[in-house]
Amino acid sequence: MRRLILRFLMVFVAVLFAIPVVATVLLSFCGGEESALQGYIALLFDCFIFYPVFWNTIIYAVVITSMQLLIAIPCAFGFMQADFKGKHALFVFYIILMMMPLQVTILPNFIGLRDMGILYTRTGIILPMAFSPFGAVVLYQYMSNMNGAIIEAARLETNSIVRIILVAVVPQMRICIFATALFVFSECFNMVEQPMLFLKEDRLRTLAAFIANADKYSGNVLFPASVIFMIPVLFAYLFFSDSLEKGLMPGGIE
Amino acid sequence: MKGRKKQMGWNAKCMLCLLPSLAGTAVFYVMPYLRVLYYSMISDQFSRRFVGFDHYIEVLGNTYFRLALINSLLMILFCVPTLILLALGISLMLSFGSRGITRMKTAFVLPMVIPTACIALIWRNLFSGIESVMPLYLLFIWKNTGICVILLTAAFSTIDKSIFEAAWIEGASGIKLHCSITIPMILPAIFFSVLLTIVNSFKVFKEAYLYYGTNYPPDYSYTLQYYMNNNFLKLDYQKLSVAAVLTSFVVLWIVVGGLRVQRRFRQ
Amino acid sequence: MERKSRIGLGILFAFVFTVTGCAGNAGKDVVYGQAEEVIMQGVEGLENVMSFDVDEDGCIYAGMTTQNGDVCVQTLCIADDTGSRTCYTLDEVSTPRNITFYEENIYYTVPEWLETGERQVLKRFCPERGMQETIHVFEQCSDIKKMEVMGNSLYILGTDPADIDFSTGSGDGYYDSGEILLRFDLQTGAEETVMDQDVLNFSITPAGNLMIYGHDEGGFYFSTGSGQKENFGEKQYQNLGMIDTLCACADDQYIYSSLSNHRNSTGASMGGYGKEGIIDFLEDMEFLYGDVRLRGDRLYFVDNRTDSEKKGTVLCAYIERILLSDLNRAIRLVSAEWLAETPDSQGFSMEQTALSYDSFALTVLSQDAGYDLCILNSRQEFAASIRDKGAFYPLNEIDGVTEYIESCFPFVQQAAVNENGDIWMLPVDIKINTLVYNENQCKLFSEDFAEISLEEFLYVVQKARAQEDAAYGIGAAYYTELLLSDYLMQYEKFDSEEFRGLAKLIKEEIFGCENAFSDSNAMNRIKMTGNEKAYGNVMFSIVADPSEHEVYSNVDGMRIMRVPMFTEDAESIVTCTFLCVNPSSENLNLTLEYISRLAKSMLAEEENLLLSDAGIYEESVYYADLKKVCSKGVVRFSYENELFLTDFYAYIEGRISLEEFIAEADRKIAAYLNE
Repeated sequence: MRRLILRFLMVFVAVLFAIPVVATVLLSFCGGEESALQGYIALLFDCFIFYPVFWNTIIYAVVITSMQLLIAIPCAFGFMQADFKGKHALFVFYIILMMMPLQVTILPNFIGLRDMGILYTRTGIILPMAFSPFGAVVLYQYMSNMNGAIIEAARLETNSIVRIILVAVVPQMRICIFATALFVFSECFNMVEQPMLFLKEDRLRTLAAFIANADKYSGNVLFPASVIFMIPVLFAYLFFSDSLEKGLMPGGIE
Repeated sequence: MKGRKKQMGWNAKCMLCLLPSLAGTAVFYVMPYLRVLYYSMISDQFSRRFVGFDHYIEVLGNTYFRLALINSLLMILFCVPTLILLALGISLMLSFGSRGITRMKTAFVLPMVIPTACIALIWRNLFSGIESVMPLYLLFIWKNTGICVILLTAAFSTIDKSIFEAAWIEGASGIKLHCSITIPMILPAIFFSVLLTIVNSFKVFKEAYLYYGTNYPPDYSYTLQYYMNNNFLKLDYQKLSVAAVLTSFVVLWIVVGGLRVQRRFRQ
Repeated sequence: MERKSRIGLGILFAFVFTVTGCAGNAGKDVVYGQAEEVIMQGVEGLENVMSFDVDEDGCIYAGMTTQNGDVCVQTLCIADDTGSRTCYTLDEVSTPRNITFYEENIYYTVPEWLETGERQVLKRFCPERGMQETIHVFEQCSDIKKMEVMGNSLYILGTDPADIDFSTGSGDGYYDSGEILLRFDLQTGAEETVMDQDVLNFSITPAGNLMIYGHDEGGFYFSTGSGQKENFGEKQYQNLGMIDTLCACADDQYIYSSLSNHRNSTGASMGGYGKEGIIDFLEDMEFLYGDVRLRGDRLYFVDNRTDSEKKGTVLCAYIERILLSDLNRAIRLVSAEWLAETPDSQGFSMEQTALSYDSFALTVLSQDAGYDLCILNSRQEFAASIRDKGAFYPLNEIDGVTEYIESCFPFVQQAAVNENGDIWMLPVDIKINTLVYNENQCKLFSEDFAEISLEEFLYVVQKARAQEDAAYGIGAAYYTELLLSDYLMQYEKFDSEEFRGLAKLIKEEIFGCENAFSDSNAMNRIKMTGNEKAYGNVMFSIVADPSEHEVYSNVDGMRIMRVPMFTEDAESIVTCTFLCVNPSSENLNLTLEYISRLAKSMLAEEENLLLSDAGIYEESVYYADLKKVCSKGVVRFSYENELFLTDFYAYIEGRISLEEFIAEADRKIAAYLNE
């Protein structure tokens, strides 16, 4: 009985969550009077800026995500293993920085990027996002559950910290790293303000910024673009979800 | 003596791992923060007279700042626990439920990647005529549950399986098992989800702005982000930076409190 | 290991240091020539000059056509700077062109008509012997645009109009008109092609090099070389459009004139490789054409000012007074969203960028050195913040600005000066809404139309609407906006009995008619046909645009009054567009020079409505009326009407009640003013 109620509840919640998404997909086919695909035709055949913008988004997301992982994994590992005065305070500081609202950091970042000479370039978008403290904080939180014995064992084998991270940490944390990557990836996908303010040219901007200004372009491109927007993240998620299933075991809630 | 030397070496190596992140954070996050701190204490961007805490007194005495602060805190108080509980429930079901259930998880992920402009339009049609802050709260919860589900589900995967076996032998099962073992085990991840949700509650401004279509939404949804954004457009950066510094103190208080709770639970 | 961590720490510090140390190295010097006195004098006795050359001693060889009874005589005059003039009559049918002096001989080209068509021939005239002879016939081109001498060769730019090919347009305004650059050796008499396509113009530099202006797949470019084939320097790409006149002042500097150049509004400009500037004495030349010669520091050119007494004379001017600024340092103007009121460029190259509100705030707040001026309008909500936050360069010391501000209407002065007495902005345009009415027609409605109250006026509008053929222009939405801003001048809140009355009046009287809302022209019965006669029938119309005033002022019986408002006999709100100088601009000197010129030129402008004693106000009763309304203007820096307009239309459309509107609008205004 309880199993059934739980299952029903779950389905209900899932449907609630899915409704606006389904609505978006449906609306994307209601763009024109002539045919259901008119919105897509306007987007894919008449709106050439869409293609560079789409690939930009993918490039930004992939580059930022990989850089973020390269930086955050050693950092989280360092936080866990190193022992120094003020480590706790430093970690709290990381969290505070991570939580600064975007409106606040836009101006100082604008000044900083300009003084470094990377304003209005792709680098100016990528670097601040790649160094975001988010990744380090979330991975450190995950690592508190890590099996320390494996690291100790690895340390007996090798002296190289890179090897230890690759051999003892990454495999254990595989799913968490995927989750973090997915999280960073979707953050990059959703960024609008940075491309709008730190870039001058439309062709360097991202899909999210394109959608935010969809009314500037002819045709009803908002919903079709939104649907296409969802696809890459969905793929990334499905990739993650496969490995997630392998890593979990039934715990018997039902 | 030799062993000690090796110990120190290990520690230094680990600190070296922190370096890239520290450097980048210093440039792209610490410097801006210090700038904001500096801006909050000068008369304006141009003449730059040092005025100490004058702006703080002014902002704290401002009705609209207080309204904004209260609205933002209310949003955190209401939405964050709701969202975390929901996400926890869902991820427990996804992690430990039957196969049929685990297939549904895509439904929760999708809202995460719907563009702001698109969802604000849908929301406006769904909730037109409702004069309350609830649509906004719903939008927030709907959009941000997915990422917490992912993060928590991943956290479950890190739990050492032998712990469950031990628990089974002792006869614990079902919800009790999760409350006493699973959840405390992933407390750090929950803590992070809380933090992330708070950050996202700042970001919901994007949706709110498009949902109301004005810089001056009804009083009940006038949050700190509106206060900051409006003052930014009025070129009054000082008020914005004061609000930002004060926000970071509130956040500091939440973080330190949260870490303390986390530590107590773990012992 | 400890050493390693120290190295790491060192690297970290070095990294942070390098990254942060880049700050504050902006701000480079700008080439900036100091102004000297200009002497521009006409050379006496040389009128209607068609072509001329100047030799090293300043002796002018000019070709002109003089009327001798009914016969046109082609004359060649030699004028040296002692004032002596020697003239020779040439045996030619048409005016000699492309006069070039070389070693005691004068070379020129004339067309020659044969049975097969027209062709160009090169002739030589020797003043000493009075001898005139044909020395060459051009086979490759049917027209000669330009000829100059270098070494012992003549360089000739010919075209073949038959070859003009507009279809070769490459998007930057270039088309091939069949130009060809030839070299004619005066000793051997050999003709040689230097460049046979895509060369637009050339000039011999004082150092004796050949400067060409051409076009290739990379766009328009300059290049200087010794004049031999395949012997040009690096191409300097610079888009000046299809320039018509080019005169090199150095190997990398030139004076040019271009009708199609988008950068400049004046006749001629000075430029350099990578640089651009202005020559202010050339500003009132509409256009430089034909021969332009530079000898030493003197520039010779033909006066082409239509109003000049010396039209057609050769003028000589010293070109010391040249401002040369880096081309990449055009005066950069930023605005939030697009503002149509662009100030005159005064010959400077201007770049205007319309930013979003966010970007604008970022640019100003970050003290970006990369913009020089911002153009704002008093209705933009952040306009006053520029003043209050000190984001301006005070203009009190700038030559001409104080005089200009003092000549403006007192309310403009008041707006332009802050409480410390700093002139924080330069007003460039005002928009004041006035009601233009036809005295004779409106007498029928009311004896004393000029003093009509709002209610009476709306009654008149109703009556006019009932007449089929009445022409009037009262934009419903526009008038509503005016009424509401006018109300807010007197009252802080909408919550008052007076407003309730006004709101009902607007809803019933202005939007009472059918379609008033959906069709904003429903209240506009003027058909804008482009036919100026249509304006003659207009009874009354709200007018703010100076160009419309120009039209109405020519109509008999037209008068101007303040638009009937809720508040009677009060000030009219004026929208003022103004410039603020960025105090951290990297181009500050040049910008201030621009501001100074702009202020001076605006002060001299008879039609500048900002000036209380502008000549135009004396012209007619119409403009005298306008002055009366203008002198009671006021600039209000305040929130944009968007804050409450959307809600007000919701009320007009009946979506919300009046009380709901009042609550909502008052809430927003309070939040705006107090947050």
